[in-house]
Formats: sequence, C-alpha cells, structure tokens
Amino acid sequence: MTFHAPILVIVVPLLSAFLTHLTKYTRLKRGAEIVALTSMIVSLFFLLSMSGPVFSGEVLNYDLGGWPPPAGISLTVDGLSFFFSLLAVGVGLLIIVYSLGIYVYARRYYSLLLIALSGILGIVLTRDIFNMYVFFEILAVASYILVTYKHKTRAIKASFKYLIMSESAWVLFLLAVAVLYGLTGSLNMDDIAAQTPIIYQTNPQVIYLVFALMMIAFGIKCGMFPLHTWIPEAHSQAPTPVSGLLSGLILKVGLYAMLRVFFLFFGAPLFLRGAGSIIVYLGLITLIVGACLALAQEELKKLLAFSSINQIGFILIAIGLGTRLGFEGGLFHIFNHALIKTGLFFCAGIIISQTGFWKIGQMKGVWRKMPGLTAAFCVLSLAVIGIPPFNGFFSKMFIVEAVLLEQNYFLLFFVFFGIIMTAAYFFRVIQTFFAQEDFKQKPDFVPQPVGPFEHLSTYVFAAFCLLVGLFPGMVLSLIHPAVKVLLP
Amino acid sequence: MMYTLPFFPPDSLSLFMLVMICLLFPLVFVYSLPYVRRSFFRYYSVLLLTLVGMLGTVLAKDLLSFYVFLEIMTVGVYFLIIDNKKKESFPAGFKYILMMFTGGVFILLAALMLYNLTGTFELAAMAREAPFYSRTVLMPISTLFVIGCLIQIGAVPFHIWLPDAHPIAPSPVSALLSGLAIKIGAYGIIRLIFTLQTWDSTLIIIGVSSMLFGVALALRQTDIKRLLAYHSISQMGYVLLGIGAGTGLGIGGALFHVLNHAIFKMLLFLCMGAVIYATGERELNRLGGLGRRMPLTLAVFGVAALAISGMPPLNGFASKALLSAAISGNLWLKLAVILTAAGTFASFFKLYRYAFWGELPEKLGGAREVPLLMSMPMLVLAAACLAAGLFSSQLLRGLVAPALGSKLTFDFWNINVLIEAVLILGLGAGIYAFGMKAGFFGLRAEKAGACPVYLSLDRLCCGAASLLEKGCSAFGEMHSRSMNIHLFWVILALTGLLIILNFLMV
Amino acid sequence: MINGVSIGIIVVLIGIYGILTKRNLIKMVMALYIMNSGVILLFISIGYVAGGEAAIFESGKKLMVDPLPQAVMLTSLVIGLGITALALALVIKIYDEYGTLNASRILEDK
Repeated sequence: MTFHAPILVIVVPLLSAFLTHLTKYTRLKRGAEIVALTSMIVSLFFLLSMSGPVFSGEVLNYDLGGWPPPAGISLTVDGLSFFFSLLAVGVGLLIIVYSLGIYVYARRYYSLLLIALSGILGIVLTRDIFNMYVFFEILAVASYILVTYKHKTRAIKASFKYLIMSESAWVLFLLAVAVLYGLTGSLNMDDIAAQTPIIYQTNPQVIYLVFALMMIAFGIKCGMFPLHTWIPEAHSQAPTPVSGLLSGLILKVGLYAMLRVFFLFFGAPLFLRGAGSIIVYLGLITLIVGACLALAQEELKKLLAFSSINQIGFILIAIGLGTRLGFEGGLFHIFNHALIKTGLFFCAGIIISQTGFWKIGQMKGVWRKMPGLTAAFCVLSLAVIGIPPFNGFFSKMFIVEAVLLEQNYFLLFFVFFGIIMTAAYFFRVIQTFFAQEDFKQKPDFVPQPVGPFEHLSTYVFAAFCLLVGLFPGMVLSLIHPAVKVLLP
Repeated sequence: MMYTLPFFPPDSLSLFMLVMICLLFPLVFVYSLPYVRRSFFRYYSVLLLTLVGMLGTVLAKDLLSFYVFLEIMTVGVYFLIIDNKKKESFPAGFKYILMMFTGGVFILLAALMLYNLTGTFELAAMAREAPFYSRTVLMPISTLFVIGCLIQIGAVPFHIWLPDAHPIAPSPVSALLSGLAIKIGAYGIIRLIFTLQTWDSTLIIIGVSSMLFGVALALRQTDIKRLLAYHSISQMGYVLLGIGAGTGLGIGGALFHVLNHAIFKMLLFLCMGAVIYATGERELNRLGGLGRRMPLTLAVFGVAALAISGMPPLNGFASKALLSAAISGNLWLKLAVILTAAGTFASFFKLYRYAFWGELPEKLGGAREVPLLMSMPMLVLAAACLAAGLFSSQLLRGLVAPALGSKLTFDFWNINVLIEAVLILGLGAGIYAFGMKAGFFGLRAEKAGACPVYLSLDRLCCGAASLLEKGCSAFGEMHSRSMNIHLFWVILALTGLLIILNFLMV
Repeated sequence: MINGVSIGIIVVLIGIYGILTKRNLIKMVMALYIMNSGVILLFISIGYVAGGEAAIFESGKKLMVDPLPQAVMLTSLVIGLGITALALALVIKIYDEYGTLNASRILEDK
C-alpha cells in the first residue's frame, strides 16, 4: 500500500470528483456528499499510511508510471510535503462536513471541491516543477468557479479579478519554468536544485529573473503585498465553505510553494545574500497593510480576509528570516492559522445566514441568540491574537523569539504592533457581538436554517485550537521533520 | 522551548500571595450571589477562570507560565468587566484589554530575552545565573518587564485604563480588580527584582507620582466608584514607593500594604456596591443621609476609610508606618507620604459627608440595608482590618518576613505613629475645608471653582487611537477600483523585484 | 536574432501591455491568452535543436528536436484554453449584469 500511496492520495479525490456526477444515476439523495466524504477519508488513510517512514526522516520517492526523472514526474513525500498534505486533508474534510449542512450544495459543488483539494495535494506532493504548475492551475480553476458558486454579481466580479490577476502571474511563472528548463534541461526540482548554484556563479541575472517571476506567482497565491488586492473581495464574496478553503488552504499552498522552491532551489547562495530579507520586508508591509485595513472594515467577512493578509505577513516575516526558529514559528502559524481562519469564516457564515447582515455594526447582540457560536468566535479570535492557552500563542511566541534572536528591533516593533492591532480589530467585533441591543432583522428576512453540521465543524475547529494550545507537542512533532527538510 | 508547569512547592512569597487570594476571593464569590442576579452560569464560570489565572500567576515558577496565566486572568477579567453590557462598559473594556495585551507582550518580550540570555525560563535557575551578567545587560530587560507589570498595576503613566474599567464593572468585580488583580503586577515586579537583583530607585518616582496624582484626581471625583479607582492608583503608588526603596523595610512595607490594601479596598468597593444596590445611584450629588438607613454599611465604611487613611489601630497604619520608616531619610518623600495620606482622609471624609451624612433625598426613600450574603463579607473584611492592625507585628513576623526571606521586626506601637496619625487627621481636615471653600470638589453644594486643566493622558491616548482608526479608514478608501491598477501593481512588483535583486545583490 | 525565443518574449510583452492598458474586459482576456501563447512559443522554441527532426522514434534518425517541451506545452495549451473559456464565461455574466464591458465603469464595491 505504501508503494502507491502518494499517487493515490492525489488521485482518489480527483476520481471521486467525477464519481460525484455519476451519482445522478443512483437513487441516493445525498450521493455526492457521501462520495466526497469517503474519498477524503480514504485519502487521509493513504496519507497516514505514509506517516511512519516520513517521521523517521525517510523520503519516499515515487515515480509516476515507473519513468524516472527527467523524463517522468516524480512524487516525493518528505516532512514538508507530509505536513502540508495532512493539513490540507484535515481542513478539507472539515470543509466538506460544513458543506453537508442544511443548504444543499449540488453535485457540481462537491466535484469542484474535490478537484480543488486534489489540486492542493498534488501541489504539495509533487517534485516536478511543471507538474506543480499544472496542479496550481487545477486548483485555480476550481477555486474561480467555486467563488462564483452562488451567482452573486459581486462574486462574479471578484472571481474575474482573481482570475486575471492570478493567471497573468502564473503565465509568468510558466515563463520562469521555461527559462529554467532552457538552462538545466530538466523539470525535476532536485535536478534543478543541483544545478542552480553553478548557474548562479556564472549568470546570476537569470536566477534573479526566475526568482522574481516565481515570487510574483507565489505572492499572488499567498497574499503578499502588493499582490493581495484580489483577496478581500474574493474571500468575502465566496460561499462560506469556499472562503474557508481559500483563506485556510489556498493561501498556505502559495507559502508551501515559496518554501519548497526558494529554500530548495536557491539554497544558500541566493538566500544568504538577501532574498530572505526581501521576503521579510514585504511580509512586514503585508502585516501593516493587513492590520490597518482590517481595522477599517465594516463587513465581517472582509475583516476576516484582511486579517488573513495580516497573519500571512507574520508568516512571511518568520519564513524570510531563514532561521530554524523562524521556520518552526512560520510553519506552526501556517497550521494554526489554517485551523483558526477556517473556523472564523464558518462562524461568520453561520452568523450571516442567521441574521442576514454583512456589516459588523448591524450584528449587535448576537450572543443572546447564538451563545455557543459567540463563544467559539471568542475562542478563535483569542487564538489568532496569540493568547495562551490557545494555539496561536505558541506560533506567535516562536515568531517573536525568532525576530528577537535576529536582534532586529525595528521588525520587532512592527510585529508587536501587528499583535496589538489584531487584538484591536477582533475585540471590536466581539464588543459588537456582546452589545446590549439586539440586532434588528429586516422584516422580510427568513433566516437560513443552520443544521448540526455547520455548528459541528465550527466547534471542532475551536476545540482543536484549545487542544493544540494545550498540547503543542503533537503539532511540533509534525513540524520538526518539515524544518529538517528546509534546514538540513 | 517547551515548558512544563512547575508549581509545587510554592515559596514564601508565592505563599503570601496565595493566602491573600484564597482568603479574599470567596468573599467576592459570596457577595456576588445577591448582586449578580442574571447570567449566573456565565458570570461564575468567568469568575472561576479569573481565579485560575490569578492562582497560576502567583504560583508560577517560571516566567512563561507567569505570562500564560496572566493572560488567562486578563481575558477573564475582560469578560467580567463587560458583564454589565452597559454602553460604557465596552469602551472601558476595550481600553483595558488593549493596554493589558500591550503590557503582556512587554512581559513576554522580557521573558524571551531572559531565555535567550540564560537558556531557561525558570526563575530559580535565573536567580543562579543572574550574578554572572552585568547590570547593563539585565537592566533593559528588567525595565521592560517592570513596565509591563506597571501597566498591570495601573501606575502613572500607565493608569489610563483603571479609572474607566474599575468603576464600570459590577461592584464585586471592581472589588476583585482593585483588591487582587492589580496586585499581580506588584508581585511580578517583586519576583523579578528578587530574581535578577536589579534594584532601581526609579520606582520611587513612579510611586510618588501615582500617589499624588491618584489622590489629587480622587478629590475631584463625584462618582463613588471612580473615586475609589483613583484611590487604588494612589495606594499602589505606596507599594511602588516601598519596592523602589529597596530595603527590607521598604519591600516588607510594600508587601504588607499589598495585603492591607486588598482588604480595605475590597471592603470599600463592597460598601459602595451596597450603596448602589440599595439606591441605584453612583453620583455623590444625588446621595445623602444613608447612614441612618444603612448603619452596618456605614460602620464598615468607617472602618475602611480610617484604615485607608492610616489610622491606628487598623491595618493601614501598620504598612504605612513600615513605608515611612523605609524612606525616613528623605524629607521630600516623607512630605509626599503625609500629603497623600491627608488627601486620602479628606477624600473619604467627603465621601462620608455626602453619602452617609446629611439628608436623605426623597428618591432614595426605599433604601434599606443590604441582604446578609452581602453584609457578611463586609463584616469579615472589617474584622480583618482590625485584626491585621492589632496583630501587625505577628503578621509581619509570620507572613511578610518569610516572604522576603529575612528577619524583619518593627516596633509598631510607638509614639511617632500617634503623632503622624494626628498630623494626618489635622492636615486632612484642612484639605477638606480648603477644598470645600475653593470649590475644588465639583460638588453641587459649593460654588463652581476654577480648576487647573491638566493634560489628560487618557485623552491623549484615546485621541491617538482614534487618529489611527481614521487613518486606516482613509487608507481603505484609497483602494483603487479599476482592474487595470491591480494588474499594474503586479507588473510593478515584478519590475521592482528585478531591480532590487539586481542592485541589492551586486 | 529572430528565433522562437525572442518572438516568444515579444509576444509576452505584448500581452503584458494589453493587460495593463486595455479597459475592455474581453480585450483583457485576449491579452491574457496572448501572454500564454507567447510563453508556449518560448518554451517550445527552447527545445529546438537546429537541424533536428520531429521527435518520433524511427530507426536511422540521429538528431531530434527535444520532445519534452512539446509534450509539456500541450498540457499548457489545454490549461490556457480552459482558463480563457472560464474567463469569457465570467465576462458574459458580468455583461448580463452591467450591460457594459468597460472595466472602469464596472467599479468594484467597497
């Protein structure tokens, strides 16, 4: 089983995406959901079957069809890939659970969701750079359609903007792949990594070109300034589970690509020369922009989207530092933020469907109607601010410590500013939730019924925050192999 | 960088704080039962969470646990403050939580810096390592930590949150806050300074400014709970004075004052809570003559007021005597202490005069003595005031001195104390009379007098915050709407990166 | 010199120009597709070997053009096609709502 596990992890959701359409011919009322759930569980099973060797430091290599690189595509599972794929499958499972709720999503939705998830898994498991491009595009197409799933005009505009921006950047990524292929003759990441230092000695400008092009592509996907402008509209207009997918997973996958490509391709020579500091300072600006704009938001989902940008800024700073603690903090925060932000979007989605309001100022006194949900929201916001005993505390602490070790007090000040601003805008929302007055519902508004599945997935996220906060060792044992890959 | 939670066995300093918290917390609990009638489950669960946070803080043997439980306590207190859900509680709570988080991050930063220096978070290990590091290295870290704790205490100039947060909370919560929560900061300072041996006399300056500032502003207040909040600032100034003095007498006095202030400040807030419970009023202008209707409350209030002014044989005089002895050399400090004590007495006399003396307004005709569950804790606390005063030397020997790890004895019952008491009484009466004449107190009964406008730090901070918020909104508006601009940013980023890379690396 | 690589680059630049300056949504999509085509042209030209023949295994052939870019670019063409189709579908939807294809008139909501 382990032998074929890597490809099965990716292929099972992909095939199930097509199977969901075939359930039209069965008499199962909720056939698509069952297929989706089962496929993710099967994928999770395959993934976990690989966990043993990965934890002991082995790297599992799998060549598709037996063709060795450079002719063939190889999938490799090392600590970093395993970490991200576990995160993707876990959060993806909970997104599907949320979608099982009362609002019945059609077969189309589940097949698109499964395509997106298999795209994510493909990105993190592959070792071929063009294969990564293909899976990114698979993911992108699925996400463009998913954003517009509810056919709102704003969503369509948001999706169009997302499409144009993302595709133009990824076309440039393809250009970079072309340049790399021309120089090295291989599309396999390991091969390219072996040859890059040599190329860098003779012809550094080419490496800079490739680096810049790839940075733009990954930056768009992960929300680095100044490429983040598609995020607020797209994340807020998408249906709630899709917002969770976007903020929770797609942003992280851009970061994975950054980690994989930059730290493995370009290794020591380029990085020690300051590419890392570019990432750090761009992350700093991202942090500030995200925080300031989040404070200015009136709509809840847009505030959460800007908060994502804010947190990505933290992660970029941590990753760009390039130290062991920086990677640990960054990866841990990626994990935590995926959990927290998806949970927050789910809370927001339930509240919006129950009150009919999008703006925070109108959602007064929500705690009286939905006390459990408000409690979950409080837990999740405290987690993202970085309050013990929740998980965000550890990741924030690692990031602060990483910056402290660099003795960069300018950076430290802005990290501190970011933490306080996060507290400020989240407590603004919590305050409104706890207000004395009740929200006045529009007279002709019928609250959309919210079933147990939506609540279940939200509470699971909140519970995970507490759990990981109390026992961070579990997640750290996942992160250590990943960091070992980045810093051997 | 993982940590375990080492707690047992607590050393004497932790034990001191532990005894204080464990004896006083149940009183808040009992008092809340008739006071907080709705939201039973939510209130008590958050109260217990705060207790967990407090206990964890004082029992923590390493700085990281200290920070963790401090934040737990802060979150609990926030939800208690906004329990009323009144309109004003939200800005107060917001200010509170933001300042507490700022202070918390300072403490975390200091803890991390110490970890980088010594390789451990544990206080015992740090104490062993500290002598090997020079003062110039330890001092900035210590200052950072102390500033974080000062924000927790509410010392000047970090007091901004206190006068809003303490009054707006329900009265048992105010008692909890002023009585116990702000002491955690003092505990933190003492603990760190013990560990790192970074004594510094700047704390004296902060202490004196807190003392004088607190009393001066308290005299101006007509809201009974806000008045008490300013007095908390002032009394914690005493504590800081003692810590800054650095001698055994000083820190012993500070610790003893922490205990005493907890007792009488809690009692004062519970009394005022009783007044609010009976009348629904917080303004001195609309109160009066309650002494006849609420004799019990009047009696315990009297005890507490005399205690806070430092009259023997109640507990206040004991700690103040210790502190006076600690600063005995310096004339200016002595003057500040006496002035503050006199001002405190004047302020409480004003409170007595306008709340309990005089005539009962018709609106308050239904005022009655508070139920037993509320008066019991008050009586217990009043008895404690008396006991702590009478048995002050035993307390000193048994509780305070071991906390300091030194043998401390003090002769409380000598003639100097009596002289000081009379002096304070006289000066206080004088301040009261002068204040009434000059219309300084802002009460309806006097002619409106001019008062020097002071630069309110509160207004400064709130102004800065609203400026930030307006700036952010303006920034948000600036976002372009045309699609081409977004793509322009993409290409601009690309070219920018290329340029930077080419010129940076070369 | 004029070879596939330089033409490819020029086409990409034309595409970038189109994206930056054109206001019409359909022209934006066209510019995107032009960019895609330019990169594909570039990639295939990189695999060009002077004097090589088509990369089909037959006995007697000595010099072959590199087949890997061609295979890879087939995939890329299909992806570009899919993206363009999707983009045009979105444009149609936007046109239904707004009646105009001018990007500056279809302002974003705040």
